[in-house]
Amino acid sequence: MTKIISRSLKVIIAFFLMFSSFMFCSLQNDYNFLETNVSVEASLTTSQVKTVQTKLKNWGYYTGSVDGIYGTKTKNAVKNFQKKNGLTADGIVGKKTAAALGMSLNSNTKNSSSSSGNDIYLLAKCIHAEARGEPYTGQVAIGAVILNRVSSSKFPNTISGVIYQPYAFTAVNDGQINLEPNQSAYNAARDAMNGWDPTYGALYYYNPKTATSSWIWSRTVLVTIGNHKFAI
Amino acid sequence: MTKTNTTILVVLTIVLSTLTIFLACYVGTINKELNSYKNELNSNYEHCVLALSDEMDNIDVSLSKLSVSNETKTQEKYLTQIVSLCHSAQSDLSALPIEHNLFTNTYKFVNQLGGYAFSLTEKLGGGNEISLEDKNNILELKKSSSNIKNELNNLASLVLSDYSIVDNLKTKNNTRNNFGDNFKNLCDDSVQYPSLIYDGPFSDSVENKEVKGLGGVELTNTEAESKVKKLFSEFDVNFAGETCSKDFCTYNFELKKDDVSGFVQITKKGELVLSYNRENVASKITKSVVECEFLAQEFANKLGFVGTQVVWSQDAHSCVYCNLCYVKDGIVFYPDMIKIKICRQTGDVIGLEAQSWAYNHTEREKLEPSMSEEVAKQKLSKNMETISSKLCVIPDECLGEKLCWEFKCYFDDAIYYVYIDAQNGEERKVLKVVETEDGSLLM
Repeated sequence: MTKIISRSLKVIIAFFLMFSSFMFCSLQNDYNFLETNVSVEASLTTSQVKTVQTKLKNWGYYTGSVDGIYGTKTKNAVKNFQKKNGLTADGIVGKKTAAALGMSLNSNTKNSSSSSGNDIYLLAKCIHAEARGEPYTGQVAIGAVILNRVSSSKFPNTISGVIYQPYAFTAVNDGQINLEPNQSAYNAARDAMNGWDPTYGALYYYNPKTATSSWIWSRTVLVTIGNHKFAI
Repeated sequence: MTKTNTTILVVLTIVLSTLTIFLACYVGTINKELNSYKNELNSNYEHCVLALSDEMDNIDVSLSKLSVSNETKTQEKYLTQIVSLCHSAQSDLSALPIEHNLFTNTYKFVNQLGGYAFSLTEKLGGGNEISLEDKNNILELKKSSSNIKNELNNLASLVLSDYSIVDNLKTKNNTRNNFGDNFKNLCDDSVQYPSLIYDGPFSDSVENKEVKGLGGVELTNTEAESKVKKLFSEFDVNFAGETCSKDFCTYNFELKKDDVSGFVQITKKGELVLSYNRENVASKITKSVVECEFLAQEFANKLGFVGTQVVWSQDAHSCVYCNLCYVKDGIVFYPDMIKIKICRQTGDVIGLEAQSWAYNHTEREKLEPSMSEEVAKQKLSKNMETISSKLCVIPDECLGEKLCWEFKCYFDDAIYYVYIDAQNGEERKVLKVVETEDGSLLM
């Protein structure tokens, strides 16, 4: 009798564990499809960086100049501040760090063109999501592909239209577009907006090691930079 | 012992049953939320299909009215409607969940139709009439728009019936997109769309620009490398392949010095340094914008861009982007432009971009304006205060290059640049200086 009960117990526990695992796994897959991986950090404007530098300088965390550039010194000062205040010491001024600093992350748009700033930010996000780890020239090239599409009659006419066109970029499909871009991606976005295009007109790019679409392989390749072939 | 085991079994059963019930409730809640997202997404796609169908209907009607209208004012009205409808249609097209390669021709048709309609409104606005060739084009466009309209009407009927777009999309293992199949008749390469040549946005003539600034014998790889080594003597230079696009063929080289790396592209024909780029890693500012402009000018001269002057600088804080243009006889040729990027910490030139120069620079003839600066100034809006003026040549997407008087003006707390045609006094362009976090932009 004891053996039967013990065996039954084991079966019930095993069944319960399998059922729970199955439910959580399938839910995770479905939820990832719809859930956005939203970073809580906001992109700092130059005036916000100056505010951060001024505050940290006043409190003795920062000894550099208040120049609006978020360099290594500023980042280290932010990390020290975060450690002292029980925050995650990642060197990034997100909502919690901003609150501890006593500042708002809402950007001041009094005299600025918000659509231009938004375009660069969105372009940087896409470059970071699609090409982090690629050579700098490769990142600029991806920014240029997006802008070439905007100018082309065969694609949407805005940066957001091109980036968010369904199935255009895997980083949009899987939510990586919502990761906070690094400085390299920002620099690449600015260069692309200022006309740098190492591909001279490419509208497509793919990684030959991972691309499976026969259609993309049929495109004429203009140049290979890093892991990507750029084509038209 | 038996009683203890029974108790344990009962307790465990109760605990597991409770946990199972909670888990089931949680799963039920999540599923409900997922269904809600799915319905919202499906409704969004349905809206795009229905809006697109509506827009193509209206485009078809406007084209029909245009083809029979004989009065300039009414023609302008229908053309303006078509421009607006095409803009909305391309926006709705861009939101549909279909692979882009299935759509290319339809996209091109909508964008070019809008660009063509825009160029016709400019034509009518300049006092001209719609020509016989334009009327024939409109009839051809009407045939294509009717075809698209009919297909979209069928699709609209489908989505209004018991059809879920989301359920018919590509599955996770990349099987066929059943929803995309509904566009087969529009996406087939055998479907003929009229070829449109006009001076306006998205026209084939604009997308197929002539390269005027490159000539001479083609360089070999070795010659190109030798030139790059001479110009960038402080770096180790390594060949990094070629780029060959419709307009430019270049030899590419990687530059390396300690932990600094860069990329240079030199044209095979014309041996022009078309592009040079290094990442900006400045962490502090030591150079002023004026100092950077001086350094940019020096670099342009060194690389052979003779006769250029700095005409605009964008202070992007850790670097400066300088625009330099060809200047002759006191006239600034804006189409002949290069861009140079300078690091504000080291003063190094870390970028050069010369596509506009390659497309447009030729030996320029002497130009004389038909009207004086004083006469052109009379054409300005009376509420603006003029700060400075000069003669220049500006690029125009629709009309080619134009000799203009450029007036830098102040109005309502903002700076404007107004371009008055130096031959006929027409206002060609107005640009506004917009202050952004990345410096001053002209928009």
